[in-house]
Amino acid sequence: MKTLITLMKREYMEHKVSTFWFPVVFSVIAFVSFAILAIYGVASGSGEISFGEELADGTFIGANAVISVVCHVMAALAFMTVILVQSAYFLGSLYDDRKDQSIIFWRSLPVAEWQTITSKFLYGSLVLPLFYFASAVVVAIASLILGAILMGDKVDGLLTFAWIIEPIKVLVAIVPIAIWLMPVWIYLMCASALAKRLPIIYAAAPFVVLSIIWGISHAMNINLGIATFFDSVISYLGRFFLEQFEMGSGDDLEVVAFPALHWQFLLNWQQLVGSLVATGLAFSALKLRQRSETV
Amino acid sequence: MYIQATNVVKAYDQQQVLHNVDLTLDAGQVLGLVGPNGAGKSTLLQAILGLTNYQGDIQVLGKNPSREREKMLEHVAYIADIAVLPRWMRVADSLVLMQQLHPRFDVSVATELLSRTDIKHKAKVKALSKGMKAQLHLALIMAIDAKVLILDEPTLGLDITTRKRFLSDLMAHCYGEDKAIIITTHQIDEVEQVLTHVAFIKQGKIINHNPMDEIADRYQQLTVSDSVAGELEQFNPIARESFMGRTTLMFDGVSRTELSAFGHPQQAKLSDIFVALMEDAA
Repeated sequence: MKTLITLMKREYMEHKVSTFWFPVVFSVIAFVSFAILAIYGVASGSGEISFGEELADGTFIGANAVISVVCHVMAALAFMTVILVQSAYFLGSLYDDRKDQSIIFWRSLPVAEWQTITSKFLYGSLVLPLFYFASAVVVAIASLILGAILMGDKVDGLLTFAWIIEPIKVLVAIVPIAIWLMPVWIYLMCASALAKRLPIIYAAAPFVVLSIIWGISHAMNINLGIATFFDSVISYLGRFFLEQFEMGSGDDLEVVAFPALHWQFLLNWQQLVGSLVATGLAFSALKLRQRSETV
Repeated sequence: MYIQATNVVKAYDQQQVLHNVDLTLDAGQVLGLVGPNGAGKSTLLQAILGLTNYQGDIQVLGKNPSREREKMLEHVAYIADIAVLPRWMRVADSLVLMQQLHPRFDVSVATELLSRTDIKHKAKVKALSKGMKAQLHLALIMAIDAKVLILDEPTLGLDITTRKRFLSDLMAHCYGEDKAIIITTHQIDEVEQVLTHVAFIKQGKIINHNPMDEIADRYQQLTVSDSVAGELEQFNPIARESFMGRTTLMFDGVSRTELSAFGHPQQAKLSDIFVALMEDAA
């Protein structure tokens, strides 16, 4: 365990810019943008800054719902960003040290390859998004506080546990999201371990080849099951987006920006198959890493 | 036996790099692995460390380097012949990581070794000169209390002063009766004094593996006038070099007594033996 933690610390040292500074910069930009708009809106009277949704009867929905909406919307934006950062991280995870030959240095230390792979997976799937989600939550809370200050007496029910619960819900969502995306990340690690140059080409190549084969077989009216495979992949990855955002109204408003917040999201046959695929891919990544040399 | 390599074969694509190599290393030995560029030195060392696939049998401290690499590496330290320290790393990071990843790393030794250099702890590896990178790597490796130290061109890029200091540090920190060292270098004359054994490798084959004592007794050099040189042909010299009317000949297995009749024989330097053997085996 100590080795794994140290290896993750190593990942942080190596990827400090994308792990720490990127979310910090994005957060500052997001908050400053919000602050300028909010202050300008209030000062000019041209825009109504409401801490809560004004309903048809002239009342405002409660703070709980607004805190929930803002936290989850910010987290959803962070998710869109971090998923790109994670993709880049995993594509380079087992390639970069072979390219700069530092793999020889790491391999001269008493560290097993499974520990290296595990630390990279845990770092990329949990630690990286943790920084992005945490910064999103901080921006959300800071924006809400600023909004509350600007709104003054229009605020309804500000003293609520939602300030604590909603951020925690967002941060906890990182775990089911990591489980859901596990086959994707480990697939990219396999491509990274196999690549002799540009891992993204190795990652895309099987899909390009399958698409070509599908095109030919489709023209020849032969069913090779490739379309079913593509449908399964799209269905697996798409369910996150398809199930996003369910809202009620008033204080009953429930934002499900992350279906993964509900662990039932993971309890289905698709996830079972995805986890099995991820396990097989993890074994492949380990074997590829053990056999890989510098590039 | 600390290292026992038997019938080691390695090929890259169609090219065979190691041909049935046998090599042994025992406690208290400092083995110089000497050979020209491309002879297979680095490949052999990487096979010994389990860093590359190979055929044959290798045991390091009783462990198979391919299957038990991480256990083996608790007692084996290694420097590659190329700059392999991660470029993103700071010097201070390297100390922290080594301390936490290597159970036999002594950070106080590394810090003390680094204090004798111009390397700043805040510096990033990518900002260091080639020589500084080598010094940092040496400090990290010499701070490991390893039973076996494998050094592949460790002084590459270092100036003469630093090379000399490295050798004295190496013997002070890393040599002992329960330790063993393999070292490859092109500065043969500089390491000669610390070697207990030498193995010459050429085109993937070990052509000579002997204790330095035997080497000293076995190879003699004699410089005579060109007119006398012909008479010495009866001893089958393995190398000869003429310059301004004088010829220097090297002999393998000819006694000093026999050669003394022609002049003052001297123990051949390792670098001269290396050149002679490489040309002889060509």
